[in-house]
Amino acid sequence: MKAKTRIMAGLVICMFLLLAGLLPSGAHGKEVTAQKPIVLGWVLSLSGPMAGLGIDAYKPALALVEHINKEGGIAGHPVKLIFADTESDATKGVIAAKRLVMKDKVHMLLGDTSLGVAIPVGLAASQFKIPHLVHTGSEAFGMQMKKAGKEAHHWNFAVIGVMVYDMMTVVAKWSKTVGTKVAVLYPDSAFGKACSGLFMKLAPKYGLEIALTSSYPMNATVFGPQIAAIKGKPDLDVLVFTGAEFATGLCIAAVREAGITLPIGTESAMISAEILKVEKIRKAYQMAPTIMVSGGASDGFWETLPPDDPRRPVIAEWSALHEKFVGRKMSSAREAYAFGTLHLLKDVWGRLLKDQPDILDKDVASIRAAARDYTETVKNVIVSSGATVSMSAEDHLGLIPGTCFMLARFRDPPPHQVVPGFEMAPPPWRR
Amino acid sequence: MIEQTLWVLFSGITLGCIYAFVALGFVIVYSMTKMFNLCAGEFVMLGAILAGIFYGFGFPLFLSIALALIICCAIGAITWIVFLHHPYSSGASPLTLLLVIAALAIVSMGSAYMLWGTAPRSLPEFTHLKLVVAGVTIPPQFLWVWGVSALAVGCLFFLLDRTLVGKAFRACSENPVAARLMGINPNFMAFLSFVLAALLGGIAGVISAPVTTASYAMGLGMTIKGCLAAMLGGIDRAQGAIIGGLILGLAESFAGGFISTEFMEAIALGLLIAILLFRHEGIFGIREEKFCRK
Repeated sequence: MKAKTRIMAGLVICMFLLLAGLLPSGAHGKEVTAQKPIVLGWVLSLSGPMAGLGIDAYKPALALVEHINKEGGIAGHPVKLIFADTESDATKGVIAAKRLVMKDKVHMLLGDTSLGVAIPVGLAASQFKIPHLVHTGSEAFGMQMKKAGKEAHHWNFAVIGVMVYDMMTVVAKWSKTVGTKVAVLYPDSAFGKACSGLFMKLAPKYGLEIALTSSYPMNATVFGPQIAAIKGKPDLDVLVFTGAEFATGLCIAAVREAGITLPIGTESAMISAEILKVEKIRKAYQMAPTIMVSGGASDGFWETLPPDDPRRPVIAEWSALHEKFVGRKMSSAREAYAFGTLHLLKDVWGRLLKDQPDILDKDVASIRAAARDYTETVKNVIVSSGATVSMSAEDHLGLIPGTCFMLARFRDPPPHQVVPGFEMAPPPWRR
Repeated sequence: MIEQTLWVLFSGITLGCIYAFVALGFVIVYSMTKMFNLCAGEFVMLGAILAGIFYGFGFPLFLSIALALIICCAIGAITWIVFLHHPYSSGASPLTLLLVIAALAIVSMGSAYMLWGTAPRSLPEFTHLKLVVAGVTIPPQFLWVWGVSALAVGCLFFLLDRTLVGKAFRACSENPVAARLMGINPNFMAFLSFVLAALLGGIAGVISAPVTTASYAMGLGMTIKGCLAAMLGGIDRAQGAIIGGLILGLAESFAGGFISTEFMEAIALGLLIAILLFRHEGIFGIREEKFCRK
């Protein structure tokens, strides 16, 4: 027994010495990075039903931060990025954000792509008085923050891909040749509901008639009810799918397999590499008639941009980084979310540290307030979808119309081709 | 109208068959152990993902399916032996068993996420033979779902009604004390019921994988639907699970096709509540004489 106690005591002493021995190396590390870091907290769905969106952003974010730090950081300051998993749950997202704000003392919060999580975290961010930048596929986040009041609008920013307006423009143009009766199909997710809701609200302004709305669960197994609902409306002209999940790809496949040959319009997320791996979806996309996909310039077809297009070198750099760290070229705006977000932050912190080199020596509340002010003055920065954004006090979406937009035709290989000469109408808030 | 009705009908039967498999997993385990098998949907996920993985490695389709089903049974057996045998055999309360099995379901989902990530797995359709009924082309996988369901249910009833194991199984279910006195080991029969539920879940997974895609999070939804189907049909009756699954699938499908897809689950659940209001023990459930609280 005594021998055992001695061995245990010896082990404890060894552990203590080992830990003590490690301390100087920590101090040494501090000397190497003498400059104070810019601390960013990213609330992201890395598990749960929306994990696909979060994981697409996670690896590129790590890649870009490593790249930025290797190149000397931002104005000599390294970037420290702390992730917090929301588990695709709004309550856990708010708790994670609180931990980042209170415990990790982050200077800025980056938000979840999932709207269901981003909106409550955005409301919490305004209470914590910390800038919160969300990268999301729809305008709903910005609209909700404006609705929630001045404080919520003040602290929250979004970078978006103007999906709904893109699609509205596409469908409105089609309607001139194929007809105006539209069916909107959407997944039972916050994103699906937000996009379809906005689409339906705006449809009359674009001369479209919503003849059918139909939803499907995110884990749908068969799509018979949706197919029956479409077949029950023989006068439909166009089908619009507003989802970004696998269920949407599967629903499109089921619709085509059922012999429905109406024109289909969908969003860029539906041509991500992951979705196209599923054989039945890929096959369905190649059935006639062509499926039209509206979305960001970074959606796998940025290589068709003209050589002098300012978006081209930026997206090419992101794609090269993506290939280096993830093992394949970037193929969807979702994969570019992290690049776009950090690209914008590089601009924000670059300007801030240039104007106020000692800002990181100040108290955390002052740092957060300054970061917010500089985010609001972003001008002409390219973000994930290829869009160029210019923020202002009134406009925290900042999208410059038409800058992100590409319309692709999905047909025979190569899988998607840009439709030449398609011009996007400016979204309503710019008219 | 006929075409629309047929689409709804065929989809409803397909959905119902898948729900019935999961519901059978509930019923078999419940009738033996009085335990809610909240892992039932997780075996659907396991079967579908494993078959997808093996197929992705280049194994022939049916070998991939067989391997997936064998592994499902093995995992079911290990789960019972390691985590459930001790609490069950030592007479733990149903609530304790429920908590253990709920924890196992969560661990299963998390492990699948860590092992295989979020990328979905899919299987090709087993055959490409299409059947056209009144102008409606029935997808080939629907036919497989119906056929395999009928075959599996037939085999299950044969096992329960015509074999010695099945008789022992029923004896334990009806009166475990008397069964033990007759030399039957209820612990072993409970183990068998759990493995059988794992196999049924695995079959549901592999036959539905070509229709949908398999991902780590699909189990929970299946567990809920399977549980509802089992409650609807009667938690202690195998035929109840099949009828319950079919009613739930058809109710969802008809509500979605003719009323609104937005409310199809709400309508199906409303129907469940309505039935349970009048038949508390489900359609085929055994009515027990209980003390009235009035």
